[in-house]
Amino acid sequence: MKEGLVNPSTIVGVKSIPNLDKIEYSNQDGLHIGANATLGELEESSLIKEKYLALHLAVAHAGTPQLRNSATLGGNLAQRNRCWYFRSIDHECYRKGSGTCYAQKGENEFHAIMNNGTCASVHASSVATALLAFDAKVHIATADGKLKEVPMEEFFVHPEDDSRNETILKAGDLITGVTLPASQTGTKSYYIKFGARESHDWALADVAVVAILEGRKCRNASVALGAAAPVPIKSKAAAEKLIGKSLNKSVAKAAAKASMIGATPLAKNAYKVPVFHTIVERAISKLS
Amino acid sequence: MKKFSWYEAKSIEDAMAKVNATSSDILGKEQDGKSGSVLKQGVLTCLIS
Repeated sequence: MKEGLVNPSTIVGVKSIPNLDKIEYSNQDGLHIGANATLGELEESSLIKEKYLALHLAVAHAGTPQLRNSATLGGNLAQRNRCWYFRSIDHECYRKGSGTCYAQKGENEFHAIMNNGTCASVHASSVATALLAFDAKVHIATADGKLKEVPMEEFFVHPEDDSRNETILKAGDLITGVTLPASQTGTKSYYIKFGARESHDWALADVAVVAILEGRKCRNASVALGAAAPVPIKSKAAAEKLIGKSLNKSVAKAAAKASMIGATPLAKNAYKVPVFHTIVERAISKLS
Repeated sequence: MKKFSWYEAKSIEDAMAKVNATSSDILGKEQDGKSGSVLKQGVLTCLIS
């Protein structure tokens, strides 16, 4: 609103809706987090720290303690993309319907390095990176009174599919919560955020890795990248380098290299490629 | 930033009803397809940015 992207006549507050802030876990249903749970509450949850370390680390690196005490999970996922052209009232960019992405030839040091041909903005949620790696599902109440579950991988919408919206949320839709699968034996996870500042800053690059290990051998793996593309993405190429392998430095390095296959950095953000190489390798090395 | 009114919903159904009742002029419906209730969630988090 401050940046002039929207000018509502009415705002409907949802903070007072009861039971929308619960954090519950069962071995059968997994972890359910209500949309109104604050990032601070997620950060302080010992259960999340124990079973979903990557999520704990992602929320712990968001904003500042004061912001985490007010920012909610639902709000974090529903926030708009990060791009100074998009968030400038003076620029009618691709996402505002002009067909022109000014970041392509402009100031693009913080922008996307993958899938960035039409719009190079990046989604601002670091929490989404961790949720994507955990194969979370988003619960949505629709305006016509229905409830639906959407995999995190389908929740965010690439600008080529919908230039005006970053998520599948339609008018009247409300995020009610997120569910993560129950933690399996041997599940390990880690998250790393790289930013210009340690606190109160966006991610220039972040990664969440979730793996199921038997000893050092990786049975299954998921590698999610944030601030790499207009939406948080999974690197299947990186995961494939891990699955079936005994984790060690060379495997981690190979997966890190694979994570950047297909990268198309712009003039001023090629530095992100080696940054991702480094943080992906480090995150994998923290698993075992 | 122009003036806006604030409605604190008591339930999901209440939020939906308010959004639908003000559908013609609530923010997202005209401008970006997002609902006012979603906006509130977004506003809280915009603080992070």
